[in-house]
Amino acid sequence: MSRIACLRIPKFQIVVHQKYEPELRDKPFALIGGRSRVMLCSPEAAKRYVRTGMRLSEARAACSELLWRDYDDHLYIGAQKEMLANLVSLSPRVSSHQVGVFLLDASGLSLLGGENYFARSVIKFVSQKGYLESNVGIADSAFAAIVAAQNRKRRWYIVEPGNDRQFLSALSIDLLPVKRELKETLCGLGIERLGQLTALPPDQIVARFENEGLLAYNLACGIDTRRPSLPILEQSFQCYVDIGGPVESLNDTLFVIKSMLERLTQLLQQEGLCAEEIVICFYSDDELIEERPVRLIRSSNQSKFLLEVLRLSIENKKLEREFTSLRLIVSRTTKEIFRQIPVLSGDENGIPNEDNGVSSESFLLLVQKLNTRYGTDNALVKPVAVDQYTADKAGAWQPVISSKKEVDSVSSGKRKGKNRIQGSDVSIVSSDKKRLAIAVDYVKESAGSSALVSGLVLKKHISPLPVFVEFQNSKPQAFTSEGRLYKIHSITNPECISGLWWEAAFRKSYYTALVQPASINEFLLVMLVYDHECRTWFVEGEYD
Amino acid sequence: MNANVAVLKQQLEQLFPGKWLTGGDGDRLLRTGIREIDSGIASGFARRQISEWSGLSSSGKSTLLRGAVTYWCTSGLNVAYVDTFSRLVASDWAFVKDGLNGPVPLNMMQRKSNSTGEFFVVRVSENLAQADFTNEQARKKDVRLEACWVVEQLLRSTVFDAIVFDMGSSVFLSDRTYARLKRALERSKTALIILKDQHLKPSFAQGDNNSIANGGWGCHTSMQFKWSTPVRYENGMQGIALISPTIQGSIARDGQTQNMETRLNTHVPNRLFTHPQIPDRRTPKV
Repeated sequence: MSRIACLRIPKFQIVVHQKYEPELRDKPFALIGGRSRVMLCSPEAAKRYVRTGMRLSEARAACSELLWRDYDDHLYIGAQKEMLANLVSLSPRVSSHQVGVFLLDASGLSLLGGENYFARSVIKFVSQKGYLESNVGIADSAFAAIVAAQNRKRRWYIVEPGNDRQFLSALSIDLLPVKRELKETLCGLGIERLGQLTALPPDQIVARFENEGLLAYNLACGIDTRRPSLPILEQSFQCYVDIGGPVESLNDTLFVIKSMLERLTQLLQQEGLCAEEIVICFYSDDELIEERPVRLIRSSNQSKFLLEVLRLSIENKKLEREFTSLRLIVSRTTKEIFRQIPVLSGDENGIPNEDNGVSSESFLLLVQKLNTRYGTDNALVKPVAVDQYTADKAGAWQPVISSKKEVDSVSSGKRKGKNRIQGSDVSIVSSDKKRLAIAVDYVKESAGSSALVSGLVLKKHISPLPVFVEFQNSKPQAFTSEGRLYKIHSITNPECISGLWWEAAFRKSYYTALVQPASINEFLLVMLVYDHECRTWFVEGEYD
Repeated sequence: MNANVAVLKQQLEQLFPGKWLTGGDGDRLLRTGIREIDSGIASGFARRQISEWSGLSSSGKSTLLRGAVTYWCTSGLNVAYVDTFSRLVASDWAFVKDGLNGPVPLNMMQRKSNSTGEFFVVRVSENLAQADFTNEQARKKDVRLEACWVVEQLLRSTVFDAIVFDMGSSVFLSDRTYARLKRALERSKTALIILKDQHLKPSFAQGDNNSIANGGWGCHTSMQFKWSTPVRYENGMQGIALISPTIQGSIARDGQTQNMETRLNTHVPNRLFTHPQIPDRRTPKV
């Protein structure tokens, strides 16, 4: 059975401030949040009638010596993480539950002094870290441990193994972490103790209160799925360079900053992160003279961009003193998004759409570059199916972006009912899927999607290789090409295709042959073709 | 089961940092949909890295790669193919964007997202042939160097998630070109896959297991493929209609190697049905 310990530090936020600013200790002190209201106050302030929810002016009227600070989430989260990293020395599994509440794995302590010794060790350890007030509860479930840690009379409270339900039964339902409406409804029904809730049949609770009711029931029974886990360590990204002598001009150090940034961005890229905020610190003989946080508009891990941003920041505000060393810290990071620029930039609503969208500028620039270099309009192409049945002519390469002139000519050609098929070149300029020569929908309906796709990927030879074929029982047995003998391991029946008599008539028998080159222990799958017009065998390509 | 393994990996990472997990694996790696590759040491193709995909000129590598390209397109990723020697046949790739790609590994994962990616091809040798040859400089252009330039431009465009650089049997990639490609990759988020045809070697020179590790110099991941047994035959009415060998592969990454084997789920293509034509009665069938 697992055992869970809960460490609770009361008024954690107050203690954090007092830890970092000792002058706030033993003094009436409050944290002020939105609209100048007291969010939390120290016991000394509470004794002087300062209460949470008061306006600052009211609190100061009640206590003239009141000190106050702004409520700083960032500070508390940092302190929480620091404490979490420290607690790993006590238990391998530690997680934070709320601000100032930590869950620790307390299993298997019988040979390590027992649970009492562990609770004492935790309190002692925490007080050494500056948190003098703390409570520990140990139980089978996280909920019972959290409730046990709220006991104000004892520094630590241990619920015996298997007694969670009994321990919780006498306690108020106000302790349940569920919505207030549910608690009020339960109180209205006369259920004020957790024991009364567990006495009810669970199916009736589910029928009336659904999942939240079941959660409350389970917690009251000591069933809680929350477990402490291994803390995820945070990596810090920072770089420090000692220049060796005093430097006054920031521009002289740009090359140093550049190399530091390259190192940092390399680390960020390895971790799949982007910098969101960079802090540049200037030191003069170990004394920090200036710290400049630079918040980026868009997170990045490109050193060139970051250098430009830092350069702007440096040029904007001159340094007052000379410095001898500097430190770059990536203070905030975000997860890198591996999303490329879309080919289509989107319609008026910003939604990329093949019909309405326009090509993004980056993509247009690429196409323009390629077209200009080769002096053609079809440097970048995409494959489309056309109405031919030989393997090599059943598709065509269509320009991705066509010039307006060509589109117009095709449109007029269509109107006149002309086809643009000339020899082996099939020009289909339309990028619209609906204008494909193949009736895709008809084929899908009649024969399924598999009728559309081809076989293995064929790679044609630049020009067909003529070969000498040996026969055995009127079947090809081997062939010789470029002085090498290829033994035919197996061969398909020929696919005999002829046609295009209105242009350049052809008659060919297509074979697929699994061949083995002589003295080589490898197989090749080739397209062997007999051309009946010129009575010659060719290898037209290889299946790869 | 997978979730438990992931949790275990996370716990081990805490004890031995940097050995078990790498941040954001799901995004930084392009999964191929081929289970043998995705679940192995490669886990897919890494962005900003060069991966090598090689084999004999006929070894099944392009068929497998087409499966991966289909998976990417249906996942909304854009793919570019640099066909250096213009050897691809358009009909083989016509329906890749729609998720239809012919023979696929038997346990290929299917994926369909709301957006569909694009598949574009640059046919380098054909483009050069069409180029204006009145220019003397254009005449002297080397198709291989030209292909490298095209790859660099594609990388710089930051449009494509994966770029396949089909070098054919040419193994030409100088240090300078390699450095330029690496530099362009660092600034992009693309995975560059170099598709390479190996030369036939006599049987006595084969069986060198280190060749894959050595051949993939400078590559993040190196994969080699070849046809293997058992060979599957599909018989038609008068004999064999289709031959489909098994594809055997070897993956190398970070000094580790892993062997894989995959069988293809094939069917006999029926072009005559798909593309009905007026029968030509003048020429008798063989």
